[in-house]
Amino acid sequence: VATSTAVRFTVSGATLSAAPGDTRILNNGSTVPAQDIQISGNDILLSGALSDGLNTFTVMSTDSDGNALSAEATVWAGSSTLQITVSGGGTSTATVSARLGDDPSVTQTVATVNNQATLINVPARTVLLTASTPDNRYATAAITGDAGTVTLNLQAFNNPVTTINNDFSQGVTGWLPSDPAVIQLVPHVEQVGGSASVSPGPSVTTLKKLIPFAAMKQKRTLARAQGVGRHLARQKLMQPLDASSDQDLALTTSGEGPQSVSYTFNVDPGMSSVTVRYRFVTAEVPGGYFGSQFDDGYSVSLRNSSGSGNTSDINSMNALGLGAFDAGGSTGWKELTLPVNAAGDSVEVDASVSNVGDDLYDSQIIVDYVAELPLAVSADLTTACPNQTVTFTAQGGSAASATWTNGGTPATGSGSSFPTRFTSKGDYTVQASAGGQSAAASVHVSDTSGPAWTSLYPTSTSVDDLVEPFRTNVTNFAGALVDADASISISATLRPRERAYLMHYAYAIAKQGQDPSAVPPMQGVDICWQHYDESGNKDSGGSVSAAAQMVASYGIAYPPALTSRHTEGLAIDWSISWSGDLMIGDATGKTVTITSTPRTGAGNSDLWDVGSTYGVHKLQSDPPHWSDDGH
Amino acid sequence: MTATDPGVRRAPWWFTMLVVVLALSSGAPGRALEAAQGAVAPEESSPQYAQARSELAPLLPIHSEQLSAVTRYRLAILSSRAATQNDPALCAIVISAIELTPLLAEQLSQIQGRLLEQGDTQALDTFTAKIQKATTLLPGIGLVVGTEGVRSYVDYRQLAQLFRAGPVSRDLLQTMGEFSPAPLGWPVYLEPQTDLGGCSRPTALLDPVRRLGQSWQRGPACLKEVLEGEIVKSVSAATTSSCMCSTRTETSDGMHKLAAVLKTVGLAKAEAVTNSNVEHLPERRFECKAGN
Repeated sequence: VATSTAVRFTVSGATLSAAPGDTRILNNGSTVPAQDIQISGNDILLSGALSDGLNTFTVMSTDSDGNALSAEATVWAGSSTLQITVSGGGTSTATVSARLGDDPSVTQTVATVNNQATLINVPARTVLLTASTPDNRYATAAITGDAGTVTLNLQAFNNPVTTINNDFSQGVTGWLPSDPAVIQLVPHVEQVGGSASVSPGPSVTTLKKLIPFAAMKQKRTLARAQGVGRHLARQKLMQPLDASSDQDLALTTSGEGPQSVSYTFNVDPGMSSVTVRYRFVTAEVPGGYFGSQFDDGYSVSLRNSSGSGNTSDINSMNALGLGAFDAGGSTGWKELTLPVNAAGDSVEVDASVSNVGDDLYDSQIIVDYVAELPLAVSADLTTACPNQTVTFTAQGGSAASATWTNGGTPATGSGSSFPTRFTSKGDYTVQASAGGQSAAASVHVSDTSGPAWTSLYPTSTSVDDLVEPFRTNVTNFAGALVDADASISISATLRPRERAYLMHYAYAIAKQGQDPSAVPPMQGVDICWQHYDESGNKDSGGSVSAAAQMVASYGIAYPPALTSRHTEGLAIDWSISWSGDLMIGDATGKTVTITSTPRTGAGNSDLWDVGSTYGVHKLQSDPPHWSDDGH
Repeated sequence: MTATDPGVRRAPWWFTMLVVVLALSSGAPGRALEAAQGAVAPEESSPQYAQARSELAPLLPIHSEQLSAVTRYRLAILSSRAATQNDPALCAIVISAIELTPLLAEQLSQIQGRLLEQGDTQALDTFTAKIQKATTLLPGIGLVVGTEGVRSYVDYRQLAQLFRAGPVSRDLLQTMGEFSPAPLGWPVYLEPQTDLGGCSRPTALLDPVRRLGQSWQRGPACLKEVLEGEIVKSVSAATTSSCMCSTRTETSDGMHKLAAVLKTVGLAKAEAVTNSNVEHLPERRFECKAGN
């Protein structure tokens, strides 16, 4: 608003005390003179109380009952008029937007008439200006609000370069500066920026620290006399460049006002977006001028030739907030992304940086690279369980407008993120389409646990699957038993490790409280121990029930080990029985007559002795179990 | 056999079979340990406690808290033998044994599983020998070091021999020992086919249940309450197994007989479980061979 504007506070819900002495008002911490305050009913009117720039009012009063009343309000006021001339756009009407550097929420947009636009009531603070036309011409500038006049030169879309130089591996080739002296290559520094990774805009606290203009002007005049104030440029010249190192482009201010650089290039077909990575550096921060009207600013923009696509980041030191800067005055790395036509496109990168208020304390935009990115899709899980939610994410400039197909439940979706669930085992490929491009990601859905698994990886009942020399030993012992007319029935020899895994964890889940979601996977066993219901929630009851069914189907009464003589092919479970006396040859060729009982392999210790001569040893505690070492 | 001459010393196969009898509680003993403590109230600060712990510590590869519980159990057993016997004290010890056996088996099985994965046969032998030696110190709970893990069962016959309780209680415990007879502790209804299981023959429970009937009605209430729960578990496991040894008809007939005997004895809950499971017989496998 204009500085001459009257400010009115209205009390609601109470009756304002009419006594003039009951109301006190502060503006930016200073008491507003009583003659500027008028009480009218429930209204408090302030006349001539606004100063150019930020006005933070604190109102303290009482109601008719003596209860305290208070309020705070922030008002930006200005007394300047900015006359803006927009050139380079022919007769097209341009849209001019102005944003206050100190407070990005304060904006004004006007359309040009005969290439002219006027902004009134502008405070003498940094104002970030942009102008654009329907044919995608574009201009930016950062000036002080009391500059009077400013000309914005609309940039046409340049011809694409013939040598792609997105990463400065070709020096500064293709990057067109406003002045050749203002761009140079500098070594890449990755770890930069303050604690605030995202520019938050100025906080009230920050704004309250605005430095008095007169004192600052005096200080900077002294600094100029002492030859300081060009820190950034001097630093860059002193830094040796390693040709093999990662190099960035630095665009540096030179005197008061803006400097700029442009780069236009053809984007390869198949790309979804273009991203520029950059950071803002200003010597004003280490110089101690954060919060001042020497609020240097910058703009980075991307435009494409195939349409009206453009995006930009226009900001200033104060708007970013002190927390955005490190001690050297650098922000963290920022990225700006523009969707492009996948069939092929041209993109122009425009960067500008402005020294505001005077020609001291340079600022820079440092460009890391320009990247061309295809639409990419990823999933948060590569392997999932039936009904488990899998979230697919599209990345790339047009990801936000992606449409999704081939999902489970739901089958389709939109946006950069797509959660879906598949009900049954299989391999599923979900596709995202955006900006004429498509990309896909796959997820494998495993099978849920249950009794069907017990028919897989069967335990062998063949002696041939035992390992040598145990196989031969068992074969010989079995032969002796058969020769002696004993009956043998083999229940188990080699148990595949996969089966041992299934048995072990089925038992653990069903009987021992094992968390099904914590069971480690086994290569080649595509099972989901954790079940999910149709809503995607964990189904603990279903998990335990399925495991219990597996235990029942396996017919196991005791917990199976992951590793045992059976998994090693060194054990056999069999029943051995005979009638009458058993005349059997041992491994030494001697015939042993067993008259003792029971007449079973499980309980007859005389037969155990015979077995030992063959290298087949009885584990006494497990009735059908024999092994190479008695374990 | 007298109380000062326990069966564990008379049966030489206890020392040759890999059968382990000891008692233990978990770190959170709950009702069982409280019951045991309530029966005999062992003092952990006593010299007897220190001696018992020092005897057990080299034998049992368990952590300190559980070793303390094992020690308390041993003291409870010893104290009970010296004290005047009564049914509540006996019931408390039985409850302890019932609740502690599976907990100890699970922990020892995990230890054995690690030894198996390491393939360290010597360590496995040492593990087995130590537990075997511990059996001479901790009667009451059956633990069997099998090929893949440690099985557990309550050795009711040992408990019967250890306590000078009334003859009815002793008879009940002796008969309960037939449900999972020592020294292997396999359930009587489970015919071993592999080292982990086998087929179920519910009719194998007929004789133990009949013998139980001879003293069941006269048994002390606290003991009957505890044992009935165990009988129900056993009957349930036998009749719900998916792998039945006999034909469907034989199995069905056997389960009907079992239900009738249970009814005669007065074990209504177990009878109801049996009758209920007869109705689900079509879901079972008959003349089954456990495929482990």
